[in-house]
Amino acid sequence: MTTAGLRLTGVSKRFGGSHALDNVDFTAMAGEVHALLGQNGAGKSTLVKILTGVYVPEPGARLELWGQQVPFPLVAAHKHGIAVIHQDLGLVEQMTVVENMGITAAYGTRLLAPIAVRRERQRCVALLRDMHVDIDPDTPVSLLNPAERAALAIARAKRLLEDHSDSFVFVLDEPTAYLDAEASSRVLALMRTVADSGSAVVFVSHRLQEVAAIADRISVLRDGIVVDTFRSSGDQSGRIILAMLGRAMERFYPTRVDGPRAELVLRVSELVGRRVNGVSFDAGPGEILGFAGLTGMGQEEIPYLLSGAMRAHSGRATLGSSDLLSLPIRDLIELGVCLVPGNRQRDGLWPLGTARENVTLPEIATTLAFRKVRVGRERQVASSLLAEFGVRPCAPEQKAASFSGGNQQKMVLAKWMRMHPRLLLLDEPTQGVDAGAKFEVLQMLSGAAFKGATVVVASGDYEQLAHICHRVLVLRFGKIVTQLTNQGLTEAAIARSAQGA
Amino acid sequence: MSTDTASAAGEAAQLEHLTVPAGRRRGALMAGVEQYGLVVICLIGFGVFSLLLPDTFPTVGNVKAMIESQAVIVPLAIAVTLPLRVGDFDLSIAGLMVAAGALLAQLTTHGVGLGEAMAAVFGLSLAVGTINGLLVVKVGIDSFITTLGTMTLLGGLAYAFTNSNVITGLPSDVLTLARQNILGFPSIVWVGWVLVAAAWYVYEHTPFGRSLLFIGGSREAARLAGLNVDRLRISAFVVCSVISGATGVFFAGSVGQLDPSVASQFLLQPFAGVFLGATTIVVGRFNALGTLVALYLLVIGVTGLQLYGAQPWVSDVFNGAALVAAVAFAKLAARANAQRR
Repeated sequence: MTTAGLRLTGVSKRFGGSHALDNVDFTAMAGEVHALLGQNGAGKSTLVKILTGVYVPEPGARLELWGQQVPFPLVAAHKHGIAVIHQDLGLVEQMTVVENMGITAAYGTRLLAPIAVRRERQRCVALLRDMHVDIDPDTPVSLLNPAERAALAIARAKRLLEDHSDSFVFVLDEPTAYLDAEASSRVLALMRTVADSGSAVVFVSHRLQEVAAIADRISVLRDGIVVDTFRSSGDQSGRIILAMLGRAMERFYPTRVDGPRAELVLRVSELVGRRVNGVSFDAGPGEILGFAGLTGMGQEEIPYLLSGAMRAHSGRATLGSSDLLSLPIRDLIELGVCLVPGNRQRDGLWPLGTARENVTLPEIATTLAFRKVRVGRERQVASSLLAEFGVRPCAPEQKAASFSGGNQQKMVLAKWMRMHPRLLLLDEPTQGVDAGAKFEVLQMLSGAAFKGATVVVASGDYEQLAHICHRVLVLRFGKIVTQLTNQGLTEAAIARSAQGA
Repeated sequence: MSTDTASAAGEAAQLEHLTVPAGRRRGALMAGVEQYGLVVICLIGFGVFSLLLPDTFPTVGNVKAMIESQAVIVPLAIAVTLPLRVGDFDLSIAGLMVAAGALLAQLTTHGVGLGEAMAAVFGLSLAVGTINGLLVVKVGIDSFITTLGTMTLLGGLAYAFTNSNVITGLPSDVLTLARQNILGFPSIVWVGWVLVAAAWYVYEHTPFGRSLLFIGGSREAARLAGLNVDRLRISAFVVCSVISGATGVFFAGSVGQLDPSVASQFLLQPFAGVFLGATTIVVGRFNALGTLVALYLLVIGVTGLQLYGAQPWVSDVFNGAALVAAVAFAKLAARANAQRR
């Protein structure tokens, strides 16, 4: 713990007149996991991009890797013993583990020279074994679980670094953002193993509990400044939040609204989808019903099946007297069935469309094809929607892609809130959403329930489910195994039954 | 990668509202340059060639000739914006135009009335559009491959319709339809302009036009918002084919004869116009007015160079180079903008 793997001093980066980073100092020691936290826009990505050579910092910045000063702009970072692993890992699904392992190092040969297949395989197995991961090198990546994928990505980076150096700095950019609790705890364990072998690990994230669980030290960025760096011990979410937001957050979760108030309206029986295999439940207006489970157990399909996004194999689902499984999506939307998909970039938004065009889409889809669109009125509607639901900046003509993750999610929700949903279906509503926006997103769910909507949320974030839901159903292998309510509804109880304990 | 760029854009956006007003004014100026850059280049090009060739270039005759040379290109380009807006290619436009013209020429020279011949052309176009649409949308074949196939097939059909001959001696009503003088321009030019105006209205002001673009931008999000994505994609192919087929009728009439081998000469230019047009007026989107501006810019460049003494092959070189250069410039400008922010 005495050598610094990565030492950044005086790093600033300006875009136009504003500082994305302002005189940042950051150190990651050998054998340490150093978490870098901050809201979207705090400067995390800018810092990561400086370490990948995409951005060049302002003059005066210094970078030392394992005691060696390295000049900016950073080129061929791997030659200096640093690797940045992005959230999407950059693995090729159809190719095998060993093929993926060698691809960034050109399989250790020249362009047209034959690949030493046996040597590649041995090296692949050895690298994975160092991380206590045992996978057949001929498995296609598409069959690996998230933790194995992460291990492969780290091992691959290490392979590239090994040719130039024998001590390593790994920067992992949001490696767990799209994983459930089980998978992310395995990735975190992996990071621990990597650090214990003497590497310096920088872990960029905004999931607070994880950070407390694994990091040795925590640094918090806000508005381009490192506002706090401290040694991790126990639950410090209060301190982290204070540093991230610049104010204390009195509550992490909105107050739970009253439960179901009237007769049950949503009735689902023997629903069968791809993974869901015979699920039955009812829910009422005003109720927030959670679905939990490990990745791939079927809970994530429920919102898609009920919204018509995914076709059910068999079963019945009715809202009042309407049959949800037979109606086209447009009719379901008119009934008030609204879906907030998990992959908002792909399924929830038109990234290059403006905020105005995105929030007014349901109207476009239901009006006559050749009636004139009144852009001025749309703009008014859009600005008031953006303002009402706290989408920042309140700029209806700005492209959706230019908003932060949290604000994009609020935009997707705002689009539906205007339609007064009766059944609001959500998959991972707070994924990739920072702490401040997460509260607002959850508040929108509570608000919808308060106004009488039935809210169905599938999520791998058990803590969140335990806080906002009236009832949580846990799925294993496509079937409901547990129903948790009242005092029995805790994060630990969800996790236990998700894992079949 | 997409999440990566998006998060970068997100950070940039967060910073944007902090910038000083001076920066915003410069941003607005940049946006203006982006939006009307091509129009300005078009005017500069016209000015430069007028100075260089004062006797031949800025004459009424030359301007009319330039406009008339784009007469069938304009409707073809507008046709192809429809599938492009939903994210599909249609390479069969020029093949269909010539095949439709061939069908019309053969029928009318054999005593079939213009009305019946046009009905046959309409039927052919409807069939081609529907087949393209069904193969791409329902069967799921890539649109590039599907329409490459129909393009080739239609090229063959054109020969079949004409018995591999150039058909001449078209009846006068076919010629009049395309050549009728309205305010100094033949009717075919007006058809193109009316189409541009109609497409402009539909694209910029109606739910239909916006839906097409939404599907092109995010097919799944569009479906989940209740748009009938399949039907809209098929209808884009059908309307595209119907416009291309109708253009064939005017094409036969304006040329006065029908050569089945010319289809390939009419394929690249509409695409060049549409892609170049997407860098102006409504920046980043396939749009009608931008397409018209781009086509006129290209013809000004080509005509000017030819009058200046360049060889005929210069037109292909110029069209190709202008397309690649303009699109590359638009990309670089967008990137520079993002960096500055």
